[in-house]
Amino acid sequence: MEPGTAWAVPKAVAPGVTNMLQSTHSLCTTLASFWVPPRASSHAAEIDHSLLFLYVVSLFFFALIIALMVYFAVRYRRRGPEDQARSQTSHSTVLELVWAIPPIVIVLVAFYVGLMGFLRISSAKANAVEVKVRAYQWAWEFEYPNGYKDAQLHLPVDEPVKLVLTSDDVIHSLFIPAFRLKRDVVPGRYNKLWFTATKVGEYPLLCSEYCGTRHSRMITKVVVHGRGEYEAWLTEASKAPLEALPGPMYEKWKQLRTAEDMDAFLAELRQSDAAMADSAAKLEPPTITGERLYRRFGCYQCHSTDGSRQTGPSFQGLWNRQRVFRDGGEQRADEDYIRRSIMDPGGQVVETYQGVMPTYKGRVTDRQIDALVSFIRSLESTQSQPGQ
Amino acid sequence: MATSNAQSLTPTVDASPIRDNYLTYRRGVMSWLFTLDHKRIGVMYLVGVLFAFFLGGIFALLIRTELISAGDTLMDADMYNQVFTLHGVVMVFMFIIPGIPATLGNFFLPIMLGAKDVAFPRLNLLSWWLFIIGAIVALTSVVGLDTGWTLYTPYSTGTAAGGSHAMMGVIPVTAGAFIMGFSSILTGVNFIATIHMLRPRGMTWFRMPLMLWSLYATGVIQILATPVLGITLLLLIADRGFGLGIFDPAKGGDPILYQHFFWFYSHPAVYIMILPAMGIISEVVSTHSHKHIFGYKFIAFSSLAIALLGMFVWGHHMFVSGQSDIANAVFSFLTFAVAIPSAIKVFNWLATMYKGSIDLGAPMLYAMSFIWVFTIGGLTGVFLGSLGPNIHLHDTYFVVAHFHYVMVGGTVFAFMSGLHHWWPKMFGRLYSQRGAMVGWLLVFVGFNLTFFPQFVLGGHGMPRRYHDWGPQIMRELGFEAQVNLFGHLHLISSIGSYVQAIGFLIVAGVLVHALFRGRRSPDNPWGSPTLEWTCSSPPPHDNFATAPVVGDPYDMTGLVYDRQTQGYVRRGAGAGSHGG
Repeated sequence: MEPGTAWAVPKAVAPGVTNMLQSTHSLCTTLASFWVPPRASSHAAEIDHSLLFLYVVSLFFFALIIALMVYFAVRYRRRGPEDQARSQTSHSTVLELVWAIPPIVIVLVAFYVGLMGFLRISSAKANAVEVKVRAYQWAWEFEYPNGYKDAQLHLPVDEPVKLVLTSDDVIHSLFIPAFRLKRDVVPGRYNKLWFTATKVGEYPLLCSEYCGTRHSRMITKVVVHGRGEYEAWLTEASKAPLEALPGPMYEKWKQLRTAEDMDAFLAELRQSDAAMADSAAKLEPPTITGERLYRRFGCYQCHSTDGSRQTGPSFQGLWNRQRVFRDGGEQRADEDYIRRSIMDPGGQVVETYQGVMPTYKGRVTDRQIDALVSFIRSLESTQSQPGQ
Repeated sequence: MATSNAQSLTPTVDASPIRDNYLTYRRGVMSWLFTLDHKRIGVMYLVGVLFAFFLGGIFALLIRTELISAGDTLMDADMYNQVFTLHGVVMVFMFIIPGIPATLGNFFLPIMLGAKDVAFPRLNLLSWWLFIIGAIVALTSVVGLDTGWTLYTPYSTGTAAGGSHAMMGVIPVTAGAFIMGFSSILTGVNFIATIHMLRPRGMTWFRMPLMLWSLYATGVIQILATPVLGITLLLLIADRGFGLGIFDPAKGGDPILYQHFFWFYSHPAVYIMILPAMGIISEVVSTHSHKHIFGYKFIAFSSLAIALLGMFVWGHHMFVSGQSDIANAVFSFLTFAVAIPSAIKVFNWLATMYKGSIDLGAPMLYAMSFIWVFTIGGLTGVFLGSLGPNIHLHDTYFVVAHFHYVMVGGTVFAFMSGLHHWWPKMFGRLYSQRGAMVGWLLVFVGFNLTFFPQFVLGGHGMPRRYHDWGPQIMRELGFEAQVNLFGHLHLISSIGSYVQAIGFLIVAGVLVHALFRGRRSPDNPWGSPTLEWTCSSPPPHDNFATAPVVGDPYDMTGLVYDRQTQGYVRRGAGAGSHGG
């Protein structure tokens, strides 16, 4: 009756029931292939089960309603201008209350099934591979943990993945049909997603929120790598843009740890090859960019990186810590919190502090905020450890 | 004022039809443009909204033609984006929202109530003028508006990079929608006041035809929700014109806030579209089944329930925006709740048909098609209201198919049903049933052919508002199979749209032909017991010479067929209409 929920029942029931459930399940899979593409993520099964449950219920009610309507229309068709209706019954409170029950029950069940599936897929997963997604008119940019940026989304199979989405301009929406995955990419906030890709392969990734002229071209692909192959890909891909670097310079780039190192490295490189310096700068690990901005904007005047208390809280160990504000509110120090602290510092002053920070609204770009976030994250536990 | 003039000029005896009625009461263009007669205003609205429907239909055909093949078929991406925007703007603001209430509602609300006019005839005329002015202002955006009718920020405030968008039209269309919003509010005020104040002796609340209940519920939404749209549009103008930054993240604003404001109106607006449609269906199903409506009170209260619940479901448009899980859960639950009164109505209509004497003419065929398409539209709405499936289906063609099933399928089919039902009353002429049925068949088949494949498209991941379903990049990335599937489904959909277009042209031909060549209609050609059928066809200038006798609006007993006029009369009543 209810393939969606039935399949969720543990297999530890009587074998007969299990068989029945399995055949129901394979029937559902067949039905599903008409409506949705093959599934390739942990999300997909959850969503397909609710979809199929609704599909079966809808089909039943549609068939019932239409069958009754057509039957009545034929059976009770008018046979002439003086024909009379066979009944003039005007109401039956009991009957009407009774037939209000099935819709109520179905609506409650459908709500529950949909909600539970949604909650399961939207909960945070520990130890997820994190990829930053940046959307802009009209392309995608995926930034991997080592700072490498790519136009395609590469993922390991069977490992939890976290995407952090933000936009440079208008609202976009990340849509991977095979994963049943969608989330708006909104400028000025960080939307987050967790999921696990379950099938090696390549899938389309589309923009599904209208964003202008080339909206229908804002498409790229997701590549799900087999076990162990993702890391190999990342190492290889990260190397490629720097491969043209002279061997010793490449070794040096790998050793970069601070903004000062980076500046020195770029200066050295620029003396020999300006173009190469530019491409190396683009590959600058975000933590190093962040550190550079930390100095340029003068954040260091009030925020230390060694845990010492100054005019403002230290950045060391700030990431992910629960903050308590003067007005009693609480918030975990995540991307959104840091962004708001920069744009509207007076809105959430941490208790025991004065709230003297000026706003940086209009002076700092979203990408710069991202870099600052990376920098602050890198100060999570110990002294600065940026880069890879 | 009009009514006092009218009284002295109204014939006191029942005149033969056509000769002396609201159409012939005064002559000349000015007598129309400045009329205070609700019937003439209704007819003027009808001309306006049908023109908008025609215009929006042309845009729709352009869209479908573009999507016949991959790449640029007819126009480039920028042009396409403008065309789908205009299609949405014209259809939503100029056709579907004013569609039924302002045309059939204006014409029939007072007559069905037994009143001589609406409570504020001058305000009614003002509504029409505001509608026309707003429509003209909005249409000046033709030169450049590619934001979609939803005008999402920050795209529409144009602060974003990109530069090439043609968005000259944002302020005109916003101003136009703002003005038309007032037209809608004033109509709502007028209807509510009329129903409260102008019910004649004997017309209790529960003797009102169900059409009036649904117009009342619609009026409530128009008054409560439309001002929010007005405020939102003003804020949008301030953001775009003066860089206020309320919705601009670069200035600390929030683009999602715009979506909340926008849908706070625009979701209830869906019920502004569908409630009057349900009212029509209740009238048509009962009359053409020659049977008392089943479950009057349940239907009446379900209209109010839908209006009330419909105000609190707007957040389901933002399930994937990053809105909190709690908000998502609440909005999902309330969305499901709206399904219940809708389901009750469908069951009651079926029960009305049971053991009836069902006349399968054009009005009933459209009403039955309404039940067909509205059931599909409603059930797929449950898919979208459910949080899990919504993630996958959001902003895909599934959504496009769903709301076209509800709006075109629901509202337009009901509108067609109502037009065929009341056309003889409005213009005193009968149309060719055979021609009307051919038109119906093409519209019904064409409609399903157009929109059903779009459910499948959406399920397979085709996003909305794509100028090109098979861009080169999809092939380059190796997704040939998806592109081919999209291509087949889009082709079927486009063919369906042409079938539909031919159907609507036939419908228009049949109805217009009836105006000039149609047989004179008797006062009550269908055997309906509601009050509008007791006055002549077309109705006299002030509707009723004497106060109508009000009873159960669905009491079929005593209505007998009169061979001479080929219409129905109340047994015991004179040849006239007012029952004594």
